[in-house]
Amino acid sequence: MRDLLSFFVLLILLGGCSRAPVNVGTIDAVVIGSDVRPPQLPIELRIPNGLSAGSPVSVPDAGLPVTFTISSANGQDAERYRYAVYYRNESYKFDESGPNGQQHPLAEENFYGCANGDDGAFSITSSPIAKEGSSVSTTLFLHSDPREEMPEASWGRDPRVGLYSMLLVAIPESAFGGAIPEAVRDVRKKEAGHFVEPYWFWLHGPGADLQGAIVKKIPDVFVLRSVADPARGIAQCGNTSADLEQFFNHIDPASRFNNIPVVADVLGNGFTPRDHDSAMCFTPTEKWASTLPSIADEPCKTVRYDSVQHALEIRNPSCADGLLRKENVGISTRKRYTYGRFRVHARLSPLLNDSDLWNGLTNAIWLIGSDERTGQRRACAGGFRPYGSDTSSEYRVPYSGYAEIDFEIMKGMPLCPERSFPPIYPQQVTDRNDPRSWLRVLPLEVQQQRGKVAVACTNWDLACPDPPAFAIGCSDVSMGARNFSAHRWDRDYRAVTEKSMELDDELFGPEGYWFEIDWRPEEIIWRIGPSLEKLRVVGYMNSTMTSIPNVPMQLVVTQEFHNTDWWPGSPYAQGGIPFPQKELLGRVFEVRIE
Amino acid sequence: MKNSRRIALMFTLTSTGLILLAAAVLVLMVPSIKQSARAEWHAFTCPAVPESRTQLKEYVSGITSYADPIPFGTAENSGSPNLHFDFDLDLSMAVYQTVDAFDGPKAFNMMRSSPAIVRVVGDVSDSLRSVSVGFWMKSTDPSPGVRIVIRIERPDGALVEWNEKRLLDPEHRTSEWERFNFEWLLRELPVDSNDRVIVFISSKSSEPILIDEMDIVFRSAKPFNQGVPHA
Repeated sequence: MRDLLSFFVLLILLGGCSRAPVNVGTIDAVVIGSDVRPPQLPIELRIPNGLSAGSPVSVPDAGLPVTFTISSANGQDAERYRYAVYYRNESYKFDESGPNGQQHPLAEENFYGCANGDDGAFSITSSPIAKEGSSVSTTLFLHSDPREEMPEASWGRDPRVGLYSMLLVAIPESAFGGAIPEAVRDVRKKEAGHFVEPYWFWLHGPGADLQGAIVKKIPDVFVLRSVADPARGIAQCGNTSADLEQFFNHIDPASRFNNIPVVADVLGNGFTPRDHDSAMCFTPTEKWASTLPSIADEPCKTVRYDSVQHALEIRNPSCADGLLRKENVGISTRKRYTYGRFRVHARLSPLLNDSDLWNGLTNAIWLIGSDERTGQRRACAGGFRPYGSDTSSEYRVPYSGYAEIDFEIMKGMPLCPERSFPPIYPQQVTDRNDPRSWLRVLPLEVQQQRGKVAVACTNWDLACPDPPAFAIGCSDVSMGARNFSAHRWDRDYRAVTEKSMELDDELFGPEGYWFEIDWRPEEIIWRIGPSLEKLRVVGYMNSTMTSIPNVPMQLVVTQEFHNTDWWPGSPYAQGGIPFPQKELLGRVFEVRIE
Repeated sequence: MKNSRRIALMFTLTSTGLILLAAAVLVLMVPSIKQSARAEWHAFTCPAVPESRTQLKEYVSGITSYADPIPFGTAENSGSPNLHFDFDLDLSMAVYQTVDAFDGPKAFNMMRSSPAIVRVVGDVSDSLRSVSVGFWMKSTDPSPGVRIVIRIERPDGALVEWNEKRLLDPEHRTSEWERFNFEWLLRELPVDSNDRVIVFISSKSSEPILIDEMDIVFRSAKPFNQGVPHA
């Protein structure tokens, strides 16, 4: 606490320094990349394919040459200069300046680093600056954990995807001295327990007023992407250079349910709502099959690369072998990412048949992070409700390593407005002679959703009550002129969800569909569309109403069988849906994080 | 006022205040007392059941028939777990009805409160799990204060538990037909097959509320076998 206080006192003192105009030199003739054929900016960089989760990233292979010319103010200083080259991710950052011009309290979470200098970030010119200016050069590597916070798991601080800027700084040797804090000269160091964000220091903080300091920011220098290549196959299937791996769901024993002992081809119209209602009503108690959703007993049985379709196939197996099972299947990226636009082009299994009966699947495109080695979420003063890998028995804890952001698509109903939830389904009566007694007439508001599935967009904020607009029930969150209704069951409920109703045929048609989770430091945007150019927003949340995670997560694509107790309001119970007679096929064509 | 009287009055007021303060502290600080006080207050605030309510006729055979009040109906109904009221019966008491309907020719024109629908738990359910009530409604009042009230009581009228759902003003769409649903999941509530479930709607609006296509569903843990008599 004392450290924190002294840090802010230092910031105030530094930030309060006088800002008299100073006569400074210039940095120009900046060349990034080859000086023979300077590339167009931003330079495209990619996270290398085939990296395992635990492999650190360093790009580009040979580094990025940076050359620039330092000129003194009057051309007659005849002094050596110190210079530094910083870089910072601009797409997923907090503003460096907070209220009153001080460093933003969360700016130290930004992803930044610097070219290695002779003394931390800084190098020194080999001779005094020439009258016409002197050219200096360095080489920049964008690499994991530039502040060396996690030597045991540097991959937990992999470079963020998106646009990067560069900040060039030069300062006369005579002015360098003690004017620059250790935490600015060396980005690995802290001041009073906190990192000093160099962009804030040089652009808005004390560095901006430092006598003779020359500062030049170059926006959009390079852009980093990660493109998982399905053709590289699945990691567990002998493809050591794969970008993707088979994902095995954690199966909660409490998700067990009783299922009708029927095997049918639902998508092939081998089962109708009438069959469902009849089976639900007249199946003798002793015939129900106690069912716990399962996972493949060995890798690679239910996922594979299809070289004809150029897609990764995921298949929920059929029960043609006589084994009654509802088996989940999925894939995930091997790498974890902090923030980004996670884009998936996939043709997942359709969910409805011609009579609007659901096949029981929940198609999910989601992010999960639960690896304690990669650090914990930003502290929650009101406490997180422990979840997932959290082993705490405390009711609420200040820290958690668990994070999850979901698209989950199933036959459900909107949770909002609260006044119309849940729909009222009739109670079945066991009178075989009167079909009206057991054949349900679905409520009008459910009938109006024929052909549609619910796209649920969820952020698992672990019920952290810190955001000022934290709420229970339905509450609106605005994105420009548009309102989204977010729903949380109660104060302790770990997730907040928004739902929209979309056409099953459109989302899971033969051409496939794009799903995007745009995870930013202060907001999350869920988009879907037939192409990247035609994405539309179906969910929006921000840090005023939910805790946005800040730990690395992997991207997962799954087709899962959920207990419908998780989805109140659904017109069909999972237990009333037959076991699949045919395998349920999904194809993943493209996975990009950018 | 004499000094002695003044002192006596001050003493009385101060001691009363202290007693009240002690009681308040006791209620707030001791969990069991707090819980008990909360339960008492909850029971105390249960809205009064309208006098107009379903008439129950119990036959020697053990079968109960129900005569629901106007405008729900007048005919005798057996105990079905699914009740639907379209308010389209041509009733002579037109004051209850309007031709501005969501569906069909007529709707219920409700002032302040609806009559109460009553059912015996064992007639409409086998191991009652939940009670659902929903209807389409329309109100010109931006703050109609509509409530769905469900009360469960013993045959002698003693309260078992009650619950309600209020229409929230921000969700209300003035002068539009809107669906208002309530599901009360009973969970661990000790409901007996002879208990009565009472359902009614109330409103604090001085303007009439239009109600149409109302459903009441008594949900059992399993499909309901209506032929099985209850104790």
